[in-house]
Amino acid sequence: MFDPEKAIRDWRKSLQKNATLSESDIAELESHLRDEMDRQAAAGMDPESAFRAALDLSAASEALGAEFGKSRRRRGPRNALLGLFPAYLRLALRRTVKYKGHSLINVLALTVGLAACGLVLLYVRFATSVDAFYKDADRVYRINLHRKTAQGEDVIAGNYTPLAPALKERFPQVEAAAQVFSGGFEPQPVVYRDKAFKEANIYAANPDLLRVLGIALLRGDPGDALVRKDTVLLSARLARKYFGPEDPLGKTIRINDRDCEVTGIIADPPANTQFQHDVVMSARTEIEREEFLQGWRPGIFGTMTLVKLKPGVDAAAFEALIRDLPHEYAAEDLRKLGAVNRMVLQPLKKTYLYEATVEGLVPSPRLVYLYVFSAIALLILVLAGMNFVNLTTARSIRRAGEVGVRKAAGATRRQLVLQFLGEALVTAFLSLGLAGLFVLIALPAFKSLAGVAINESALLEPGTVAALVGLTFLVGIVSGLFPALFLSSFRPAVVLKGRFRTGPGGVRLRRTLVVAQFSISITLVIATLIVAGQVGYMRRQPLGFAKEQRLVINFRTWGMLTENHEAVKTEFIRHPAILAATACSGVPGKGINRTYYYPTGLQAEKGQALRSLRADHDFFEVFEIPVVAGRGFQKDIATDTYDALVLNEQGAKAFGWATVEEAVGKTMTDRPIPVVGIVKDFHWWGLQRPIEPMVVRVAPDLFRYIAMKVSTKDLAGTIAHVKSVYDRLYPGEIFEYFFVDEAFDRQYASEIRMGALFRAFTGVALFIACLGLFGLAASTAEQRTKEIGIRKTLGASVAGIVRLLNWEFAKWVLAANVIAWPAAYFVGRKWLENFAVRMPMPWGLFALATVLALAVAQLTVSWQSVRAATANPVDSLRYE
Amino acid sequence: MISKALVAASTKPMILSILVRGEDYGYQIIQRVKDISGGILQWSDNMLYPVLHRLESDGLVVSRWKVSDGGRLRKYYSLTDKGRQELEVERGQWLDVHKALARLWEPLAARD
Repeated sequence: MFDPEKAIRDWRKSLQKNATLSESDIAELESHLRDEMDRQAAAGMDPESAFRAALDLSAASEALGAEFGKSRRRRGPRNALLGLFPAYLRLALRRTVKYKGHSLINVLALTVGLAACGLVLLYVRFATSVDAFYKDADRVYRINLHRKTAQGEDVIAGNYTPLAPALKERFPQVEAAAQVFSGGFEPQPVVYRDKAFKEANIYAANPDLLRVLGIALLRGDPGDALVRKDTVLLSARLARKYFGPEDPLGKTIRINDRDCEVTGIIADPPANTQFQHDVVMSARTEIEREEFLQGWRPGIFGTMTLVKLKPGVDAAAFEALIRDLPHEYAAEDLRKLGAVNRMVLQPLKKTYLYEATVEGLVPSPRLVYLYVFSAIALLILVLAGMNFVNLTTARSIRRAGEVGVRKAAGATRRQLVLQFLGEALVTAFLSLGLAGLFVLIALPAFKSLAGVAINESALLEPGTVAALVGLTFLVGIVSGLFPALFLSSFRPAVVLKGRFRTGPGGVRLRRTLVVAQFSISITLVIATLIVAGQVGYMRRQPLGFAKEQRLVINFRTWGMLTENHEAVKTEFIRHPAILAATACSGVPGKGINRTYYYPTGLQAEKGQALRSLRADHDFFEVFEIPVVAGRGFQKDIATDTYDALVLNEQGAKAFGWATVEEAVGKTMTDRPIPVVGIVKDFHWWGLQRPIEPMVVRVAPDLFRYIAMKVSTKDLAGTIAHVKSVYDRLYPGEIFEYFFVDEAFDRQYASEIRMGALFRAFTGVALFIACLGLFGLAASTAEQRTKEIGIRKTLGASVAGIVRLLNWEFAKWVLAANVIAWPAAYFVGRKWLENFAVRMPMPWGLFALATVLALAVAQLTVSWQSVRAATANPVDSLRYE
Repeated sequence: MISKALVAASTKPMILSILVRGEDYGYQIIQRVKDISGGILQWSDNMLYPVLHRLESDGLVVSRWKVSDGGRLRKYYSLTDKGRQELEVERGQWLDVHKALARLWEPLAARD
C-alpha cells in the first residue's frame, strides 16, 4: 500500500544529502510538491501516480542541487584560486628546479638567514624562560638591599641573614621565605667512602626554599627536609654519582668537612634556572657554625632572601611595608656608619635579564646582547630577502616572455601575482626546512659560543615552530611581493615583440638594495673588528702587576695556611724553578672582599668599605708591584704582621689625602693601624672595571693561596714538584692549581665569546651579500653580452672590459661606506663606553673593513666579469 | 517552444511583473506564468526557485513563511522598493527591444 507521507519523507531524505540545499529550501520544495500532488489528485489520479507525476515535473534531485548551488555560489575568486592552488604549487616547484643556480642562491641565502634567526630565537626563548617555570614564579621575589652612605650607594642581591625568618614571622602576606647561601667562590670537596670530588653547586638553605620555588622531593620526607642541622638534599644526578645503586637516604656524606645525613632527593635542576642546586645543606649548619651569620650584622650580606607572597598581595605595598626593616633591627650600627639601608623587591623572573641598580631595574648585559643578536639575525634575514628581490627582478628579462605568453593566453594579473608569490613562498619554505637541519647541526657550536645550555628539543616547541613559520611566511610574502608586482606588470604586446628592456626603475632598485646590503655588512665587519680590537687592547694593556708565569696553589679553605705559611712556602721554594712565593687571601682576577676602614677618629666622615687583601710580606715582590711611597712590609718588623697596612694610590685618594707621601704615617681604625706605604695602582679585575681603592695587610688568618713566580724551564717538572710537596704536607687533600694569566683572561670570556659570535654572524651576513652580488653580476653580464661583444669587436681589451664591469659594482660598495661608517662609529662608541679602559676609535679598522668588503665584492664579481669579457663576440653577436 | 536563452532572459522581468501585483508563492507563480502565456511557458521548479533566491539575495524580493487556508506552509515572495525600480529598468529595456523589433518587422513598403 502506497503511503504518500512516507514517500515524501524518503524524498526529503534524499534531498538532505545534497549539501547545497538548506532546510528552508527543502521545505519550500516540499510545499511545491504537495501543491502539484493536490492538483494531480484533483484531476483524478491515485496518490501514487500523483506523487510520481509531481516528481517528474520537478527535476531529478541532483540536477536540482546543482542549480541551487549555482545560485548560492558567488563565482567567488577565493574558491577558484583555492582550486588552482595545487597547480600553482606544482608550477612553483617546477620553476625552482628549472632555474637551479638562481634558486640555489635564493634558497641558500634564505636558509642561512632563517637559521640565524632560528638560533637566536632559541637563545631568546631560553633566556626568557630562565626561572620563569617555577610554580607561582609570579609571586616570588628576591629581596635586594639598597645601601647608601655618604660615600655612595649600591644595590646588592644579598641581605641580612635573619631577614627571611623575621619576614615570615611578622608579615601575614608572606607565604614562605627562603634563606639561601651559595657555596662561595670555589668548588668544595664532597666525600662518600672512596668517592671524593669537588662540587661547584653547593647551597645551604632553610626548609622554605622548597616552598618558595615549589620544588618537590623525589624521595624522602618533605616535613624533615632541611629542618635538622647537618642534613642535606642531593640532586638525583649527584646521588647517582656518589651512591650508585645504593639507597642514599639516611646515609652520611661528608661535605666540606661536615658529616651530613642525606634526608631527601630532589630532581636535577633544569638548564634554565639560576639555582643549579646539586647539594642543598640545611642552613642551620651554616648559621650555627658561623657566629657572624647570627643577628643583623652590618656588612654581612651573603644570604640571599627569596619570598613567596600570598596570592593577591600587592608587591609594591609590601615593599613599602618592609622597606625600613634594617633601621628597626640594626638601628645602632646604621647610625654609627651614617648609612641608610633599604629593602627592595626584585621579581624572580626578572633576576636573570635585569640588574638591580640604585635607579631601579635595568637591562643586564645578557639582555643587551640578546637584543643585539636578535637585531643582527633579523638584519641577516633582511639581507636574504633583499637578495631575493634583487635576483628575481634581475632575471625579469628571461621571464618576460613567459609573462607575455601567459597574459596573451588570458591569464589575469592577479593570477600572475599569485603565481610569483607562490614561487617566493615555495622558496622560503624550502629554505625553512633546510634551516631546521642547519640549526640542528650548528646548535652545539652555537651553544658553546653563546655559553647557554639550550636543548635541541626546544626547536620543536610549538612557540618556536609558530614563530619560524610566521617569519618564513612574512619573508616569502614581503620579498615576493615586489618581484610579483613588477613581473606581472609587463605588457605582452611589448615583450612578445622582443622590444623589452628592464626599465630604469628596476635598475635603480637593485642598486639601492646592493648599497643597503653592503652598508649592513660593512657596519657588521667594523663592529666585529672593534670588538676584537678592544679585547686585544685590553689584553695588551699593562695591568700594573706581572701575570705571566705566576703559578697559584688553591687551598680549599681557611685554616690550612695560617701562621705556618712561611714554613710551607719554604718547602716549595726549594725547587730551583720556583723563584719566589707569597701567601695571600686572593690573587688578581679572583674574588676579593670589602672591609670597612676609616682614618682614626673619622669613622662617620670618611669611613668606607674597600677591597681588602690579606697577603704576606712577599706579595708585592712576587707580583712586581712597585712601592711609590713609604715602604712595603718587612719581615724584621714584628708589628708589620696585623698592625701595618699598605694602600694603593686609589686608596690614598679615597680617604682624601692629596699625595701618597701625605698618606704615609697616617693611622686607620680605632686600633689604630699605621699606613706604612703606598703601592702603585694595579688592576685587580679585568679592564672593564676601574681600579678600586684597596688596602693590604699581613693577616695570615685568611690566607687561601700560595702564588709562586716560576721560571719557564720545565714547567711540567715544576708542577709535579709542587704537587708532590703539597701531597706530602696535606695528605688526603685535593691538589688544585692555576696560572694567574689564564684565570685573569677568563674575565674577558664574555667579550671573547661575543666577539666570536659576532664574527660568525658577520661572516654569514657578508656571505649573503656576496651571494646577492654574484647573482646580480651574472645577470648584468648576461644582459650586456651584446654590448661587450661590440666593444670587443671595436678593439676593447679583456682587462678593460673586466675593469668596466667591476667598477660598476665597486662604485656601489664604496657608496655603502657612506652609510656604514657613521653607523659603525655610533654603535662602536656606545659599546666601548662599557669599558673603563678603552682603545681610541680605530679609524684604521674602518678603512680595513672597507678594503675587505671591496676585495670580497671584487672577487665575487670578477668571476662573472672575466667570463663575460673572454667570451667570443662571434657567439654573442651572431643573431643580431 | 521558446528557446532556452529567451526563457532564461525573461524569467526575471516575468517574476517581478507577477510579484508587483501582490505577494505570491513559487507554485502559484508557475501556474500564473503558464496561464498567462496560454501554456507556452512551462517553468519548472528547479528553474524558478534558484532565480527567486537570487532575486532575494540581490534585495529585489523578500520572502516570508505563511500558513495557507488549507493548513499548508508556503513561502511567499513580495517585491521590495529596489525590486520595483529594477522592474522599471527591465520594462524600459524590454519595451525598447520590443519597439525595435516591431519596427523592423513592419511591412517593407511602410518604410519608404
